[in-house]
Amino acid sequence: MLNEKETLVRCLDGDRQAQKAIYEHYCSRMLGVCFRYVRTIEDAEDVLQDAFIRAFSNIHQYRYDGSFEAWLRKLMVNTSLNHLHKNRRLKEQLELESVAYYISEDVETDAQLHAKDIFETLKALPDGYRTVINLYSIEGYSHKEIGEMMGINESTSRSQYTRARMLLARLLTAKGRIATSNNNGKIVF
Amino acid sequence: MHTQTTVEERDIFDQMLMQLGENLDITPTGIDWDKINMELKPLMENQKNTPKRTKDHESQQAR
Repeated sequence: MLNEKETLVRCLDGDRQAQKAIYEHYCSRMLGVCFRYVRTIEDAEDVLQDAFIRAFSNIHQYRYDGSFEAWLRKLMVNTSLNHLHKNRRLKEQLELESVAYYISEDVETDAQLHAKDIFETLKALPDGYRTVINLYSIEGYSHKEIGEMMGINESTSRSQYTRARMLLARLLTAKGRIATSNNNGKIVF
Repeated sequence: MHTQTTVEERDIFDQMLMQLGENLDITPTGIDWDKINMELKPLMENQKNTPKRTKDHESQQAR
C-alpha cells in the first residue's frame, strides 16, 4: 500500500525509489487518459513518458490543495493537447469539422452500451471532436475552460461538442448499439 | 476528478463517458520506469546543481 503523502515528500528530495513507486502506482490509469486523446498506443506512451518527466521535474508545484491524481491527470491532459497541437492535428481538424457534419436526429438506447464499443467509437472520432468530448464529458471541464485550453471560443467548444456527440451517436447506431428516432436533435436515453 | 468552478448540465451520456474514462487502465508495454529514469536523471542532477533562488537574488534582479 502506497503512503502517497510520504512518498511525494521523498519525491521532492529526488528519491528515485519514491518516484518509481509513484510511476508504478499511476502509469496504467494515466496511460488510459493519454490514449483517449491521441491516436496510437505508441503516441500515448510517448505522451505518458513526457508527462511523468514533467511531473517529477515540477513536483514542487503540487500544492496539496487537491488530490495528487487530479494534478497528475491534468498534466497528462495538457501534455496530450500539446502533442496534438505540435502535430497540427487539432486546429486543422477543428476547422474541417466546423463545416463537415450536421446530423439532426434523436437517438434512443434499446441495447446495453458497452464500454468497449463506446471507447472504440470514441477513438474513431476526428481529433478535434474526440478532444472536446474527452475534456467536457470525461474530464468534466466547462466549455469556457475548454475554449481557453484549446484556443477556441466558448461557443465553438459548445457547437463542436454537440456535433461530436451526434457523430458519436451516429457511429454507435451504425454499429447497431443504439436505435435512432427523428425528434428534436438531442440524444435521449 | 478535478474540481469545477462552473456547473454545466451533464446528462446520462456524459456520466457514462465519465465512468468509462475513470475505468480505463492500460498497462504500458513500450515504456517502463528505467526509460523514464534515464531521461529524468540529467534533469534532476541539473536541478540539484542549480543554486536555489533567495529573496536577495530576487530583489537584486528586480533592481
